[in-house]
Amino acid sequence: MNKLGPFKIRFMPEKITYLYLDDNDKVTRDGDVELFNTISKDVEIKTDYPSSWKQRSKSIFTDLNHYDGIIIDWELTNQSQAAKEGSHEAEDVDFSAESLAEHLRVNAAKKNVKDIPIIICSADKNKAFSNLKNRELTRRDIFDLTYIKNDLFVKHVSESERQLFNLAIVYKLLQQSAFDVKAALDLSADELDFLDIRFLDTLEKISTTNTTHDLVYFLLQEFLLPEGLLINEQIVAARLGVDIEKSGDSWNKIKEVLVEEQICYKGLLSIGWSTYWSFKLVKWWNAISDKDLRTTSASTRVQVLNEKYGTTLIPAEKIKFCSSDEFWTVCKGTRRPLDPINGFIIGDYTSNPWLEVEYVSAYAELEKEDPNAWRISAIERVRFEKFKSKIVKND
Amino acid sequence: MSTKEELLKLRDEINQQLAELSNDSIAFSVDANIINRLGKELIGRAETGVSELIKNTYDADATFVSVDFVNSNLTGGTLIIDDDGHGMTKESLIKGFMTLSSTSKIHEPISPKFKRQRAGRKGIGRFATQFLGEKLIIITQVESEEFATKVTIDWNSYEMDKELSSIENHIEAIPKQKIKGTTLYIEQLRHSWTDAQIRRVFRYISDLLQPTFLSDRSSELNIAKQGDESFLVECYRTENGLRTIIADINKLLYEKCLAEIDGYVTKEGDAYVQVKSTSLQLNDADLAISSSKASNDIVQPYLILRNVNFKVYYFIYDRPEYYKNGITKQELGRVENLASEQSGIRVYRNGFRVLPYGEVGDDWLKLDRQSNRMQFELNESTVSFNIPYTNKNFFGFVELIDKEGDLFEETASREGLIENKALEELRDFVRKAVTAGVRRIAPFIYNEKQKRDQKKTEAKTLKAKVEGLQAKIEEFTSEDEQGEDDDETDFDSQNNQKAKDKKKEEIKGLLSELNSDLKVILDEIAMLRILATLGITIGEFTHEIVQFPIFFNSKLQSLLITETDPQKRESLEQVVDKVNHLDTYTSYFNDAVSRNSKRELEFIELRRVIRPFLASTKWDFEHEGINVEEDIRGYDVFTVQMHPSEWHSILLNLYTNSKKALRRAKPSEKKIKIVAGKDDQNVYLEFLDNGDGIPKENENRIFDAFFTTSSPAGMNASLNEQLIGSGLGLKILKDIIAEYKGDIFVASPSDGFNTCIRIEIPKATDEQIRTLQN
Repeated sequence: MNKLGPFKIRFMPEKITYLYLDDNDKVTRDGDVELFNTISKDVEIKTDYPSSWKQRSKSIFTDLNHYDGIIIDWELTNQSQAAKEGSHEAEDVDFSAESLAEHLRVNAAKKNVKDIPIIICSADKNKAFSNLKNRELTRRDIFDLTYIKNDLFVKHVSESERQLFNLAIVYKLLQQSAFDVKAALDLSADELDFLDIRFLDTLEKISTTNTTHDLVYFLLQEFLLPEGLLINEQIVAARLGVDIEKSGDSWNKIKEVLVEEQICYKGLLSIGWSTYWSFKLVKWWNAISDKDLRTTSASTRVQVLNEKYGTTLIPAEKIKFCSSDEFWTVCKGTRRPLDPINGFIIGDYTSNPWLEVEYVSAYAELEKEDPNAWRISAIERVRFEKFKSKIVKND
Repeated sequence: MSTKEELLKLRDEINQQLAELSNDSIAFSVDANIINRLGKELIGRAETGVSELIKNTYDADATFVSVDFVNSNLTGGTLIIDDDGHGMTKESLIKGFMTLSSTSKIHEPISPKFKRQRAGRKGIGRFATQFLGEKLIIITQVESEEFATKVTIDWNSYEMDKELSSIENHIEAIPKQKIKGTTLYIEQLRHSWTDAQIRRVFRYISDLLQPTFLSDRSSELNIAKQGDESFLVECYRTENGLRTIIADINKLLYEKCLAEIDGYVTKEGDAYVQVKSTSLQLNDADLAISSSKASNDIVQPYLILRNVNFKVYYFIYDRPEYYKNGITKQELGRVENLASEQSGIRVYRNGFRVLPYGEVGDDWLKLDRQSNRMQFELNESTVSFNIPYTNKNFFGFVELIDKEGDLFEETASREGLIENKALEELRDFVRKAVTAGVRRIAPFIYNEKQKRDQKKTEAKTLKAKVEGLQAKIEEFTSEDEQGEDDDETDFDSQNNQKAKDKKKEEIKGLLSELNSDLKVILDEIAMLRILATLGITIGEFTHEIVQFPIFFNSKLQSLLITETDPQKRESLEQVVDKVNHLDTYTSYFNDAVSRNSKRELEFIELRRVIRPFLASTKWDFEHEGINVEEDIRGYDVFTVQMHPSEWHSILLNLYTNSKKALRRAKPSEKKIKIVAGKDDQNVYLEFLDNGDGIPKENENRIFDAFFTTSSPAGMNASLNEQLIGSGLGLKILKDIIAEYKGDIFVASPSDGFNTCIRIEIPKATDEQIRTLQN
């Protein structure tokens, strides 16, 4: 199922190997990655003590001969607890994950060193890392991905294993073959016409002039992870009016249909991340129904699907205080289907034009626990305040 | 030998012969030193001496007395007491002043002119002058005589072993100094005088004072004269020719009032009132009561009433905290005492007092009969509360200028004015004006009252106790310094001694209370120190432990993948479960610790502390079999600024208590419910459970330090056991909540629950919430 698309790997790679630098003692480090290594057939993580900058900044050039990617612990500050006399583990770690990553990126651009995925992770028990990761760390595009250590090695280990595997292969692929848009996105020339020209233009420019890590960064951060040309499963369900949890197996059946109908994205990085083409979903809908998807209620959408595929899908319900069930997106707070007319725009104003705006429902905003989780845009503030006073009055 | 000497010699001889003649009779002879001894024994202290001399001027129907201490910073100065009383003829001086134990005051207990009840005690005055200074000069004159009489007495000549009557004092007739009255010059003062002593003299005689009641306006316009029944005393100090006033009725009484309300009716019939208060920083001029330039909501000018001025001094007793002018509790107490005889609003017509208006018991303005309840608008809401404004709260007067008698007519019996339209309007005016004045003051008092009530509801803190003690001691020492008002008789001094003893007892009581409080606090501090150390340890521990769950999980789940033995798999799964429990706990504590390191205060939305708490303790209450329900009512349930970690402590503490109560009660379905919401002033949180409940008698005690229902930790108990049962939990919560002027108490639980702990914390204002969200 996880075919690599037209971007055929010319050789079946030997096992992908990541280097994991962590300032814990060897037993702890190896213990941390043991589950990952146990479940993975394709990837192995080897751990090492980061050592001093003086030593690591030099050795890294030769280290990478043995590795396809590197994972660095964000908090490289403490002297190893189990420092052994004489070994390099006795040395104080005197550098940060960022400085090592920057060092690698600069030298990769100069072709002094292999361009490889760089992953950062942190135990993140104090939220400092989560608050930082999406803004600072990836914006500076020195890291491909950031993970909470527990998610990476334990909680979501199967997903992260696929992602680390996929990332390493894509790096290799991009460095071995010339970049081809149709092949990279697994689309025909006709289908490319459905995409925003500004996206295609940017993609082509980066692929010809920039480094591999710049291109991967663009694919991940400006295409694959945010909603826009590609949408995730929750949004697909929202657009089909389906309550995933209540629908159970019927939803899985529809997902199979989506694969058959090639609505799934099958281009680069599709092994690690499962997404769907937004334009293909509408195209498919128009083929099975004469109703306009956007302006049809959830119950009608579900009815159409159930009749067509013999499923027993359950339509999603409106979030509290919402009036429309012509869902198109999901609420950032509740992760439940939302019609943007009931939503309030959040986020910054600089996102690329092919990406979709994010919305939050009034209910989620009122009930939100983490005040920093999102922020309603200034242009929506007044509307929200009016709405809120109406709710409070009726409450 | 002069005739006089011969005569004196003759008298002595005759006395001797008489004594020899009559074997069966004998007479006393008086040694001159008796003057000295009587002075000392009867007077006792210098201030009493001076006040006795002032009382004598009152008895002599004086209206104005000046008391001047000249160069008396040190001993040897001069005291001049000058009055405008009826004075003495040469004859009455000899019969009265110069005759010891004269009976004139006994014969005439009422003063001739103003019918004053005599205040001076019999025969004390002359001894007072002797007690005060070495030399006395009296210059006195009566209206009907052409000359004044001057007597000079040198007290030093009254020495031992001289027959009293043998000492002679110089008496002469001199030209009149003024129409009538007496001036005493007491020279070579035996004492030095401080300002405090002079003020004390004034206070001793203050209940004799009859204010002049001449309004500023009428005295400026010169349209009324001083009421001639008044009795005014002014005390001065003159040093090097420079005279400064130390005490007069304004300085010691009226300037200390809470507010001055005065008003007038113009010759057009327009009425105005003004309110002045230094305490309340209020100076409102000319509020219209009625006016010819009337806008619609002001009543028409008075039809008949013209040329009226009034002025009242307003006091609220027992509340020195309202006064920002530094009136002391004792001073206010004295004013209140004075009020029982002198308060009220009197009427003066063309300078003469009209009785019975403003007499004690007379309520011509019906102030005593009205309700003290006052309503006014404050911050867009109507406030209603009690503010006292009965006759007792005012010292004041109304001046009627009615030379021709056009408006007012006194009754034939001289008992008031004839009821007519003018009097009706006068009543209306004064009553409205006084009420308007008080109404102007009311919001300030209301605010003060609110503050005071708030203070009252706060527990009697250590600080309050210390302040109370301090006040008591100050009261005590200042009275000691002042001495007693009347230390002349045994009865009074006994009473004073009793009062002193009582105060001493009170101080002792407060001290011992403080002592036992201190003990509790020291115990508490010791325990808190242990808790703090423990806190640091927990912080370090969680920081270290926080990374282990990844290691455990990674290892255990790897083992699970490879392990095929079902028994071993089951064991492994159980361990994974426990590790996850550990993980939830450590991450919650780690979060709490890292939040604790944050010092800034935040407005806190209760769902933002309740939900993370429930998420992190979910494992625990599921494990305990407790069904936890959340009910947050409304949105923007923001508290005032607090530390987020304080809510961690509050919720964890309440949860721990509920858990214990549920374990004890073992109900079939264990329930906890957290209710939150907000009302007009507060944000509230209720923590309910259906555990074994709190006995009524413990409801207030559970918030005390070291109150615990857990059985006491044994001698060998570990530190941990001691801490968990320490009984400090709710006490700490109470302290946290008190810090924000909130409250925590046992409330009545809703159906299905047995305990309800309710917390109320002032809520953030709408404005604060708005700025927070933008």
